[in-house]
Amino acid sequence: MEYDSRNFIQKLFGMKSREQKQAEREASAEYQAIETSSMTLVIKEGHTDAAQLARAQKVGKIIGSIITYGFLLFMSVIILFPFYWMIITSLKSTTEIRGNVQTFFPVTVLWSNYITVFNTFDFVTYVGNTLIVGVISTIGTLITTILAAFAFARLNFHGKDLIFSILLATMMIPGEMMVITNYITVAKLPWYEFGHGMVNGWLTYKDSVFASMIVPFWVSVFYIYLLRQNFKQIPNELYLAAKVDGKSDWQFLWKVMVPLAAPTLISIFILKLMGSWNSYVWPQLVTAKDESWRLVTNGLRSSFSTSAGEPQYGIQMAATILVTVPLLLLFIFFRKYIMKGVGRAGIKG
Amino acid sequence: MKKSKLLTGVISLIALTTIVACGSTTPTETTSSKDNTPTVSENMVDPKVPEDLKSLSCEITFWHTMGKTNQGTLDTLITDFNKAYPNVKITHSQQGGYDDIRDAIAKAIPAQTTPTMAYCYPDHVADYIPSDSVVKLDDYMNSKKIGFGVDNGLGDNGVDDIVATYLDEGNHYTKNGEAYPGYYSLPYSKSTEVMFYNKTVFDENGWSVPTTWDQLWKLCETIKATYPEVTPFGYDSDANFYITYCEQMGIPYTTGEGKEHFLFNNDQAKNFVTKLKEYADKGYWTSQAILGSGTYTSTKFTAEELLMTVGSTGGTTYNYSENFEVGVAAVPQADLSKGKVIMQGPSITFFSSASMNERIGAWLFYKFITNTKNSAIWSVETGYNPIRTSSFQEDIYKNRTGTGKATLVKAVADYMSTSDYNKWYYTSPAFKGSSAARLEVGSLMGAVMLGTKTVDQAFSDALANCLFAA
Amino acid sequence: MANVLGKVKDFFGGLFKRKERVSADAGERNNWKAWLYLAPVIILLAIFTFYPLINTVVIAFLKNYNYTTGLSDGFTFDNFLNVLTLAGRTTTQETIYRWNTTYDAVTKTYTGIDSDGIACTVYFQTDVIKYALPNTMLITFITVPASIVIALLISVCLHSIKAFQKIFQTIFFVPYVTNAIAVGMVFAVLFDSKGILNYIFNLGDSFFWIDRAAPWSHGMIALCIYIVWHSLPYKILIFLSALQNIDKQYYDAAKIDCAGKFKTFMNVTVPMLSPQILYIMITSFIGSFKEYTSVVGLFGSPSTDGGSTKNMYTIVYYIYDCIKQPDTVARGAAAALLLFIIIMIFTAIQFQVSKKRVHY
Repeated sequence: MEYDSRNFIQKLFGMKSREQKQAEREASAEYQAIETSSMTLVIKEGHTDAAQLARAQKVGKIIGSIITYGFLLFMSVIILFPFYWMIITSLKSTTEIRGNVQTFFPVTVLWSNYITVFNTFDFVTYVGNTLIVGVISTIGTLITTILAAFAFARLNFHGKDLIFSILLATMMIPGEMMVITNYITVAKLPWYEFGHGMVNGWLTYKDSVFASMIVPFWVSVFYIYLLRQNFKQIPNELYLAAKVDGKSDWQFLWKVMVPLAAPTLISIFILKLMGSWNSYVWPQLVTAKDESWRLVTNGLRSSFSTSAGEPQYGIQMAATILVTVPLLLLFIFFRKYIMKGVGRAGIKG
Repeated sequence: MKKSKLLTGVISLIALTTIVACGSTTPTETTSSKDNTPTVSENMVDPKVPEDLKSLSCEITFWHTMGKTNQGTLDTLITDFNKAYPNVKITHSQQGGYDDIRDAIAKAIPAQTTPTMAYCYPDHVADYIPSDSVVKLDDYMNSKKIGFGVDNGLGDNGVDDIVATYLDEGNHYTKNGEAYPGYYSLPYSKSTEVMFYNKTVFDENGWSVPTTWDQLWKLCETIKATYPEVTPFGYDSDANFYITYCEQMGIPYTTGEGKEHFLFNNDQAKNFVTKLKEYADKGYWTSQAILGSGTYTSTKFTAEELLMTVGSTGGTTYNYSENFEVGVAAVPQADLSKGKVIMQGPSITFFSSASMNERIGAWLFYKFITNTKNSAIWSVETGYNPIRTSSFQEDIYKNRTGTGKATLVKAVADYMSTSDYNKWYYTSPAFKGSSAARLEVGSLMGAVMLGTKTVDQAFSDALANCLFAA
Repeated sequence: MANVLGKVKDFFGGLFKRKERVSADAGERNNWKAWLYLAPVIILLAIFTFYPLINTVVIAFLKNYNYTTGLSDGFTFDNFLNVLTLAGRTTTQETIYRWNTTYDAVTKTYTGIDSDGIACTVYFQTDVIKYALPNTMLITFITVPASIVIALLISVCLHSIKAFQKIFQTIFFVPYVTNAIAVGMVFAVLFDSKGILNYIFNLGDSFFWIDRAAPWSHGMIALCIYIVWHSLPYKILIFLSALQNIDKQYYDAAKIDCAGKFKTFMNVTVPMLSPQILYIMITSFIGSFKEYTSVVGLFGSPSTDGGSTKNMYTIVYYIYDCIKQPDTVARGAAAALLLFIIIMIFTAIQFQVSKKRVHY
C-alpha cells in the first residue's frame, strides 16, 4: 500500500526511484573507475558499534525533546498571549488601551477597574445565586442523564434507535430558536410558592424564577451521549453476574454502574457547572423583574453595557477575569477527573 | 423489517407533531386592527381614581437601562415618593442596553409579563403598539383628579413648562401605516448634541467658533494648513450627522405615514454625502465609522488629535481633558434662523398588562420624578437635560459646583439654560423600520467615507436593507 | 429528511445491533421499564425542546407572523424564499424605480422588473446567500480540520513528555474556561490596526483586520484564528485522555518493527484515536455550523465596517438578528429549519464516510 503510493507520487513529480538512481550511479564514469582490488574489508556489528549507537540514540532523543518542548512552548505562548493581554488590559486606563502605542505592560497599573466591577454589581449575591442554580440544575441533570444513559446502554425496548437518533438530532438545532417559546411556557406554567399559594407563571417570585433557570436545563443530550458511551464500556459479565446475584436493574445501576462511571459523572458535574456559570441570555430574560436574582455573567455583562459614551475595555476585562478565575481554579483542582471523564467520549463500546 | 419500523416511527412522530401543532400553537387568524381607541370624549381615568388616593396600594415594576450611579439617584427618588405614597411599592431593574430592553419587552408581551413602566425609544414603542400593549396616556395627562398640574402632593408638575418637542415625541405613532393618535410615551432622560472644541488652541490662533457648516469647512481648511497632523472636526455618530444635516437642509429622510417610509434615497442627499466624502478625503473630518474599532471621536478629541467634536450631552464627561480648556458650542447649522439639533435619550412608556391601580401608581410616580425639582436633581446627577424649562431656575441646577469633569458638565448645563437650544430640537418619525433606517444611513456614511462603496451603491444597498428589514 | 434521519439512525443502529445480540442473552425486552427510566428526559424534552421545535416549524410556514400579537396571515413558503433565494418586494415608490435602473448586470446583485414606470418589483440577493451561508461553510471547513490537526500534534507532544506535562496541560485548557464574547474583545484589541499584531509583524497601522471596512478575507482570517484558538482546549483534552488510554503494546510492536515516529503516528496513533477523531469531528462540525458568539465578540456586529455590508454574517447570527424583531421571527424559524437540514446532511455524510475508516 505504502509502496504503491510512493510509486504514484514518484510518477506524479517525475522523481526517480531508488533502483533507477543506483543504475545511473553504476553507469557513471567515476563508479567505473573505482579500484575494487585495493580495498580492505572492516567487519563491524551493524552499522556502528554499541557505544556509537547509544550515543546517537541519546542525541536523537535530546533533539526530539528539544523540538517537542520548543513546539509546546511556542503553542503555549500563542494560547496564553490573549490571556496575558486580557490581564494587562484590565489594569490599563481606556486612554492607554485606545492609545496609538500598544504597551506590553501598563504604564500605570490601574486597580480601580476591579473596584468599579465590584461596585457595578453585587458579586457575592450573584455568585451565590449562580452556585444555587448551578448545583441544583447539575444534580438534576446527573439524575436524568444516569437514568437515560442506562436505558440506552443496557435496556432493550421498541423505538430505542429512533429515540436516540431524535435526541441526537436536537443537538443540531440552534438553541436561540427555542428561547421565545420557552419564555412564554415558563410564564404560564403553574407553581406553588410558599406564602403565596398556587401562582401562574414562574417569573413572579424568587423560588419560581430560580426554578425557571434550573428545570428547563435538567436534560442534556450531550451528556446522555457521553455517559452512554461510558456505560457501554462496562463489561456485560458484570451485568450478568449481578443478575445471577438477584440484583435488579435499579440496584445494578446505582451500586455498580454509577460508581464505575464516577470520573465521567464528576466531569459532567464540572462542565455543567461551567455552563451555568457562563449562561447569560436566559437568566437575563427570566430575572427581568429583580436584579438581585441574576447570575454572575449577567452582572459581568452589565459592566459591559454603558448607556452612553465609550466602551470601558479595562473594566470589561477586569470583569471577565473575575468570572474566569474561579473556573480556572475548578479545573486545576479537578483536572484529573475531567481528563478521565471527558477522555472517554467518542469511544464506541 | 427494521426500515419499515423506523418509517412508522417517523410517520407517527410527524403525525403527533401535526396534532400538537394544530391543537396548541399560534392561531392563524388574519391580522385585524382592533380598534380600541375610545370614541367617547369623556375621561376614562377619572372614575377609576380611588377616593383615598394617598393610601393607594400597588406594586410597580420599572425596567430601565440605568447604570449603577443613576440607579442610586432613582432609589433616593423612590424613597421620597414613598413618603407621600407609602403603599406604592416600586421595584426597578436594569435590562442591559436599549436593544436589550426592547428585546426583553418584546418577549414579555406574548408572555404577559411586561413591567408597569419602562424606558423606551419611540421606535421601541412602535414595535409594541401593534399588540395593543401600551397605555394611551391622554386621559391620565388630562385627568381632573391626577392629571398634569394637579398637585397630588407631588410638587410642581404642570404640563406647560415641559419642552414642547420632548412631549411631542410621544404623540406621533402609527399603526399599520396610519396615524395612531394619542400619547404613548412621555419624556424622561433627554439629551442632545453639542460641539466641544479645544478652546486653548482656538484662543491661541484667534479663531472664532463656527456656527454654520460653511464656516466650519472654511475653518477646517485653515486648521489643516496650520496643523497638518490634526483632523479639525469630528462627528461621533455617523447616523446623527446624516439625519441632522438632512433635517437642517430640509432633505427628505423618512416618513411615518403611508406605505413608503424610506425617502432618503434622493439626489440632494447623495450630493451632500459626496461633498462630505470630499472633505473626509482631505482629512477635514472624521467619525466613529471612519475611526473604526469602536473608537469615539471624544477619545481623539481628548488626545488632542481633533480640535472640534460633536457628541451627545449624555457623554459630556468623555470630552473633558485636563490638558486644555474645553469650550461648548452649538452644532453647526445650515440655516441659523431655523436651527435643528437632534433630540435623543429614553422616554417612559406604560403597559396595559398592569391593573388600573398599578397604572395610576406608575403615573403618579412619573409625575413625581419629573416635577420641577426632581428634573433638576436628575439632570445634575446624571448629566441629562431637565425636561422642564422651569428646572433651569432651580437652585440646585443653577448653583451646582464641581471640579474636573463636573466643570464641563456645568458648562454644558449653562449653555442649555441660557441659549434657545431647546427650541431647535427635532425628532424623526417612529415607525416599524425607523431604527433600521437610522442604522442604514449611519453605515452608508461609513461605507462611502471609507471608500468601500460608491455613493449610488451605498444608497441602493441601504434602501434595499431597509425594505427587507421592514 | 426521513432518509437522512435513517442514515444517522443506521449508524447508531449498527452499534446497537451488536449490543442487542449480547444483551439478548441477558434477558427479555424491558419496554415499560425502559420508558420509566426515560420518562424524566422525555417529559422535560417534550416541554422545553420538542414543543418549541414544533412551534418553530409552524412559525416557519406562517405569513407575516408577529410574536407580540401572535397573529399571522396563514400558510406560506415565503419565509424560506426570503431566506434562501431572492427576496422580492413590490413598491410604488419613485425613488425605487430610479434605484432600480442602476442595476448592476455584472454582479447580478439586483434585478428589476418595472411595469409602467411607477410600480415595480425589486429583487435583491439576501444576506444569507451572499454572506451567511458561504461564511459558515468556510469557517467549518477551515477551522474544524485545522484545529483537529493542531490539537492532535499538541496532544501527541504532551503525551510524549514527562516533565512539566501537568503545567502544559493546564495552560492548554485555559481558553476553555474563558467567555467567548469577552475573549473576542481581547482578540479585537490584538487585531486592531494599531494593535500588537500589526506591530509585531510590521504591517503598519493602515493594515486592517477587523474594522474600518477591512476586506472580507482579512476578517475571515482573524475570525478563523480566533475560533481555532478557542476550540483547541476541548479537543486537546479529549485526544490526550484517549492517548493515555492506548495500550502500550501497540507502541512496543511499532518499536520492534523499527517504525519511525511519523510512521508510528500515522499507523498506530491515528487509527487508535479514530473514534475520538470522529466524535470531535461531528461535534465540531455541528458547533461550527452554529458559530456566532465569536463573531459578536470579535466584530461587535456582523460586519467589518460597522454594519453596511453584513460580510461577517453566519447563519446563526442571521437567525439571531431575525428573532430579535417580533415580525421577522418567521424568517429566523425558516433559516433555523434549513440549518438543521444542512447539519443533518453533513452529519449523515460523516457517519457514512467514517464507517470504513474508524477502528473500534
